[in-house]
Amino acid sequence: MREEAISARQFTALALFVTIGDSLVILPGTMVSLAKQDAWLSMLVGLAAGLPVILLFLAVHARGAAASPVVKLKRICGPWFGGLFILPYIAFSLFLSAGSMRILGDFMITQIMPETPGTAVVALLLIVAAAAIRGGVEAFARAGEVLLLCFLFVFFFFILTLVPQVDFHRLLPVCENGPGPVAHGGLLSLAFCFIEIMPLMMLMPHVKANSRKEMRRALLIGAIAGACALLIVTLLCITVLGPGHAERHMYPTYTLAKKISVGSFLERVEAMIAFMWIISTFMKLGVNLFAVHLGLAQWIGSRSYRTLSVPVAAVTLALAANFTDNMAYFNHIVTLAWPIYDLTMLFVPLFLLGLLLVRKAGKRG
Amino acid sequence: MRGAFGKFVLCAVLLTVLLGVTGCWNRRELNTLAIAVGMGIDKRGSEYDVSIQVVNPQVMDKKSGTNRSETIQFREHKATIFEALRKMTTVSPRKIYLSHLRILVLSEQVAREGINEVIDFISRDHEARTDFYIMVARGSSASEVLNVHTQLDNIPSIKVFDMLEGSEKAWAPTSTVRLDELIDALENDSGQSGVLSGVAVAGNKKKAMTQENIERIRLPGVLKYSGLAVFKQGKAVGWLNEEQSAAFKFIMGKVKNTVSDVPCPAGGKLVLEIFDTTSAMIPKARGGELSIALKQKLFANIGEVSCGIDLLNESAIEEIEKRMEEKHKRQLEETIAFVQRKYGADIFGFGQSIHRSYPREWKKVKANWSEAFRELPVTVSAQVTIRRTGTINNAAIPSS
Repeated sequence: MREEAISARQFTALALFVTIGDSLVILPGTMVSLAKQDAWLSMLVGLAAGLPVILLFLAVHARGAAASPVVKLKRICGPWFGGLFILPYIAFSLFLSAGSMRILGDFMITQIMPETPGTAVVALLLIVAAAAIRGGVEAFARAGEVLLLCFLFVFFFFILTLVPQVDFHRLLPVCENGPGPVAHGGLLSLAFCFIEIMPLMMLMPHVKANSRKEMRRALLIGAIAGACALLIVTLLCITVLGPGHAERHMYPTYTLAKKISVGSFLERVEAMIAFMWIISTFMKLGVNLFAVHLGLAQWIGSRSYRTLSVPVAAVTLALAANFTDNMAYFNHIVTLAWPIYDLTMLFVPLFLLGLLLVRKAGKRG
Repeated sequence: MRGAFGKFVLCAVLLTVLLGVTGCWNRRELNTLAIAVGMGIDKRGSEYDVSIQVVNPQVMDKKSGTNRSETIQFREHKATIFEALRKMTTVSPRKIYLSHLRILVLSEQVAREGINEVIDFISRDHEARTDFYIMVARGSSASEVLNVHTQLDNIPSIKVFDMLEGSEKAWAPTSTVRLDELIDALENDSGQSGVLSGVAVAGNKKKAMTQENIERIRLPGVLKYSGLAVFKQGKAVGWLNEEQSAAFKFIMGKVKNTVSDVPCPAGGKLVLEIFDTTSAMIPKARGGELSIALKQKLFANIGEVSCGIDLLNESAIEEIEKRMEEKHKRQLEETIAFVQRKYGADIFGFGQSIHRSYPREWKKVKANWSEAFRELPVTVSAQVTIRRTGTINNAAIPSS
């Protein structure tokens, strides 16, 4: 079987989707609840702190032979000691999948279909995701390229229709409560938008980039564009809804879409934002699940990663169903436990980078 | 299973699945919905008395000439609004659907006792949107407001909605308030103060609620906009009259178009059509002393002349501008002083503008803003520019 390959452009699309992911509806509100009208600063802080993280991922990829982090760990440390790092990495990807599914399920129940079990929504999406795994990396990346067009179309429609309602006075006063809340918000955007790109490293060996530079460009452009999209959405939440409003609503981005009213005939288009969000969440889910499948297959040395698609989907479904008890608990997780978990997961690429550097130095010496 | 037969089975299975997964789990067909256009909330003892105005679809179909009413009112009372709405299923054959709500009417009693519970329910419910107008019934119950038979638009709620929307654009005293605007006003740094439009049944109240009301050319009773209700800490504390309501809207910079009369130098009156306004609210903190400067710019055309004045004379126009400026300034100052003295409710958002520009000074006054607001010095300056005189210059028939 020939090597599955995705183009640099497709990889950019994937990076953009992974950055936006489920954050599109969750992150602006959470950041506003912490940093009030300074939430957009938090996004910038997150971006500034996120760039080194992306460079770290790229550095790990660039060193040693072209292979995924799991393969590299296994090659250097062996399957057992390496497993100490491979397993958390795979589990991380799995938890991210389950988390994003739970968020999506909660959203659908709260805002759109209150009587439908969230599990039904999640199950439908997971069936599609399992099919995507069977379709393979290549088909998935192509789907990303096509969906990006739909996504961008809706996104620009969304911005343009809200611009008339923007009131920049709502951004004042800047930095009222000092840097603390802004930094906390920044931690969230760093974790949810940038550290959670980590599973995408599993797809990097498949990218047909002509040079390291092209690879770096593809990932950076995707991540920065995604961060900009989130920055715009956060700004819109504050300037259109006002910090108080944005804070009180569970899903301010969705509430924002309810405000769209052009000439009193272009109204009630909020389902479009749900559509947009489902696309980005699905793509992030796909990348995470690919990381799980590829990681497991490479770890145990199997040639096919597709075999497990149905059981992994089932496990994700069960995890998602038991993710949180209620919204108060969920809120606690999102603002504190999860970003810290994300941060600690950085030890995997850091450790691997250290190993690669030491080995290179050893070879030279 | 790899052959043609396998593919056939697969297709059959997929098609069968398709039957089940299209559509919506909790779909609600149009003919099972009672589409609510108006909601009225009164108090009965300690309970909420909720009235819902529902469109009668059979009558909306013009071909079937029936004499049935275009709308139906359902009414239930219970300790909370949500319970009352659910209890309505015991009288309504269809489930109430709130997404197309046009107006929410609160009785004055509900307004005076506090609207926080109402606001919470209506913004928590996933069906309700924020694009309906909220108002306080003045001199009648909310249920009565929803009961008035109306002409031109047969559905009272839509009539009131259109009336407010139209009047808001052409008449300065009329302000409309949507749910999100109300929440914004009640929860921001202005000491939780805001306004709601008032609506009253004018004329013969009894006849207004019967079919007889719409059988005449001159309606015996009509629904009418009447001033603004002032809210402080989520409770109505009083009303603004027509002139004060106009001043309020000017201060908020929301006047799109209105008319105003000015006394002529030689007696009589002249009417200006104000077609554009700008309003700037500039907070100042000089030596720890907070103050607000309001700068108003009005652009007007001459709309009606009933006095002897030479409109071709530049100095006459200047004189009119000056008189209008004085009148406008006085009107705004009086309104602000009235609200400060009588209600102590910062409905203008002065506190918010100070917070935005002077966060440090704001922290000091924040705790007792409602007292500080009463003492806040506000200066008003107005600049009126008259652009055109309409299709004629001097008065059509000069008064001697």
